[in-house]
Amino acid sequence: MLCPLSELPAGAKGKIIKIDLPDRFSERLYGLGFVPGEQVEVVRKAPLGDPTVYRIKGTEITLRDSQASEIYVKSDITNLSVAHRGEYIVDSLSGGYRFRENVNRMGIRPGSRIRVLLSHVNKKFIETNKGKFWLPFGKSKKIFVRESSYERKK
Amino acid sequence: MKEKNKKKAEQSETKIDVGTIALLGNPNVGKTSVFNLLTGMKQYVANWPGVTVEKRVGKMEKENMAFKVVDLPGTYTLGANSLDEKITRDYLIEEAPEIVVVIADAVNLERSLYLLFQVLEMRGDVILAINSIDEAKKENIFIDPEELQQHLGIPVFLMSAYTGEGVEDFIKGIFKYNIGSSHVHHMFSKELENKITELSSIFRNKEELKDYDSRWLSIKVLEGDEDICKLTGINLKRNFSSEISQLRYEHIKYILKESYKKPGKEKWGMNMATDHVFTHKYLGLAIFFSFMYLVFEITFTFGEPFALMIEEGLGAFGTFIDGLINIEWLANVLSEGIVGGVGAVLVFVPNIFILFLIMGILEESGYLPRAAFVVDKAMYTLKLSGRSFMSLLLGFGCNVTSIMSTRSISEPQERIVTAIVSPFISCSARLPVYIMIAGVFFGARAGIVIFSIYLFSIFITAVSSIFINKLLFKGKPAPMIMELPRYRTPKISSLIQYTWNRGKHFLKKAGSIILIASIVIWFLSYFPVPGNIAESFAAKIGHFLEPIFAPIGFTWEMVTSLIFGVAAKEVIVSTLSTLTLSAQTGVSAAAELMKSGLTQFGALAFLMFVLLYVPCLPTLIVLKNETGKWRYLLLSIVYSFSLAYVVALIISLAGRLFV
Repeated sequence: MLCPLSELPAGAKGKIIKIDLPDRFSERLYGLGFVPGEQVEVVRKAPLGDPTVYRIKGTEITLRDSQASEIYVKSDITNLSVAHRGEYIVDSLSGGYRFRENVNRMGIRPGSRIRVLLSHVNKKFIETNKGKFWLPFGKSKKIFVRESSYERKK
Repeated sequence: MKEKNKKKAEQSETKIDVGTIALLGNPNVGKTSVFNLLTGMKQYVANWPGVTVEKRVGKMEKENMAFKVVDLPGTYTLGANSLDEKITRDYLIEEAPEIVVVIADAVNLERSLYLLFQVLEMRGDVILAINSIDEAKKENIFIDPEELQQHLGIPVFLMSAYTGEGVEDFIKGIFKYNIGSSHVHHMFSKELENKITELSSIFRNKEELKDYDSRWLSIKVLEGDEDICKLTGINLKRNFSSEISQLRYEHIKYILKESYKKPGKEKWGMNMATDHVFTHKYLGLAIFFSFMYLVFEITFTFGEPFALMIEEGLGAFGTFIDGLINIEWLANVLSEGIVGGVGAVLVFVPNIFILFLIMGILEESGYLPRAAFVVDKAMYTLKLSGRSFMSLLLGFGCNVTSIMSTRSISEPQERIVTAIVSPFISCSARLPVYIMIAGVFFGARAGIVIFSIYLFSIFITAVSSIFINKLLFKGKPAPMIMELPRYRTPKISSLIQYTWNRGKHFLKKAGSIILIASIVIWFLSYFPVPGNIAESFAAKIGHFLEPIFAPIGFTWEMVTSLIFGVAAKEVIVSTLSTLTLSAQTGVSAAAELMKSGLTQFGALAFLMFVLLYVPCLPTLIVLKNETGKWRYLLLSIVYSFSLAYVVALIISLAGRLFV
């Protein structure tokens, strides 16, 4: 599914579909290898959360979320906050211990199946094996999912 | 001696000037090392026309031929979106160098070739030098230069500036090269190629465009390049830049299919492991601050024994001269004015060279971009980026170089803010003042006091950048598109070159501004009543201005030294030495100040004042040049002076409360 590059978790890979930045930035990105069709990997986030290192064509490039959010990629993994209605498998959780405890109680843990029933800009209505819940934006942003039709290639 | 004779012999022969070679390449491909290799010590630094970006020019000689070699700024594209790109492009068009050498990275050939093709779209006579093949071999990368040469139609050389492998063949190749070839690569889709042909035929007939390659103009118009659209007067509705760059990469992939093989999976190598630690969530920041602390601790402690040696040597030299000459004023100007004044600054040469050596290690090893990455978020809240952080970091060496390096920041707004706040970064010229005062007043705790001054300097820079941004602009902060290069073990020879090129600047200042300032200060402090400093002109100036600084509690000697310090901050040390007669009594000026009743708080207030007040003359000149406006200069002077005054006042008031 199409999602902004900034929404991918560390370790995820995606294929660039389009770049929506003004010319003066996009030209620079082309020179660095960010062109449609190219595969990009999220290497790691900076200690303070932003910017992020991406690996493209074998080199590591840092981009801020404000730029990476304008680069759209196709990836099997995405952030729940940008997921449309449909069935997903939870891939990973990025929050701390308490956050994980909290969502585990709703039946959200790596590997579990969830279904997005309603998708609003600031919240999601989801169904898990423990019931139906409203998830605010802040929480859904820390949950990474992949479409259930994709199977992990490992 | 033999070498000297050789050099003389070389100079006496007349070399035939066979033209200019321009070196071009992505940042971090080792372009500077290649430049050093080709030109040796025969190089000098100039400025690009109209701007103050460093232009390095050198000479490359063989038998009776000589090439001029120009090192162009590192770029990824030949667009005109950043100043570096613009300089490079304008140079290639206007100066039309005979040969362009594109330096590529053997480990990452694909991206280097992207730049190469942009050059080939523009002109012929291009040579490809693939650098770092030692590293490529380690990673089992296979490169077939003959195959590449056939596809590209230009000479290809494999080499390593690090180990010296292949360098000789490369140099031979340059001298053997026959000028006058061009290779057009038709790599675009039919639709695009048709458009290019169509546009080219229009451009070819235009008289005012005859200096340009018409195919190149067409491609640039299709890419929507602002400058070229303006030049040709053609603005297309659709922008093909994404498509064009995609096709360039496809063509590169096709060429590399046979000639370049890279093992598929990347291993968990040393590079990744190091990065995992240096940019780690918690460790990353801890390492960053420890490094910064170590830099200054080492600079201070390792330099001390050498400084003492120089100090004693100069003291003996001064007494020697004093005894040698009978004319009293002449002996005085030599021993106290010149040896005392310049010597007081020379004492800090070891500290400064050690500082530059460490900075060189951090830069050459590839740590600096990581540091920028780690702290970028914090810089973002200051409306700056990790990129301006790198410029500011250079300010610890010298504010002039720091402001000059802001040129490669692509956002004008960020560039101006960085240039205005960068003088608050404590430069190496201020270090002598700290060392002299802190050494006497804070004894064993001098290291920690100086470290806190540096922290305070960072704090003030941060606060000021928010303030200046609010005052002048209300825009968004700049982007952060930066490459993290591979880690490298710094090469001793390039470290020496790095340290020497920057340290030399300090020595030059000691020989010029500081020498003149020393004589002027000596004159002002020796006359009108010879030898009586309390009656001197300097004393009169100091006394006249003392009331302004009375609330802070600065003595007239300190006030006078601050005035002279605007010429160059190191001059404060020599002025204080002259004014307090410390050269005669043999103790440091700081000890004299302590005797005259300056407290620890007073000393700290003085140190803070020195840190913050008006930037030195060279910095002010560069600031004006770089920002282009007098009002920015005025803002810098007024703002820094008031800030210094307020901070020093608060400290001395606090001192009066506690004592």
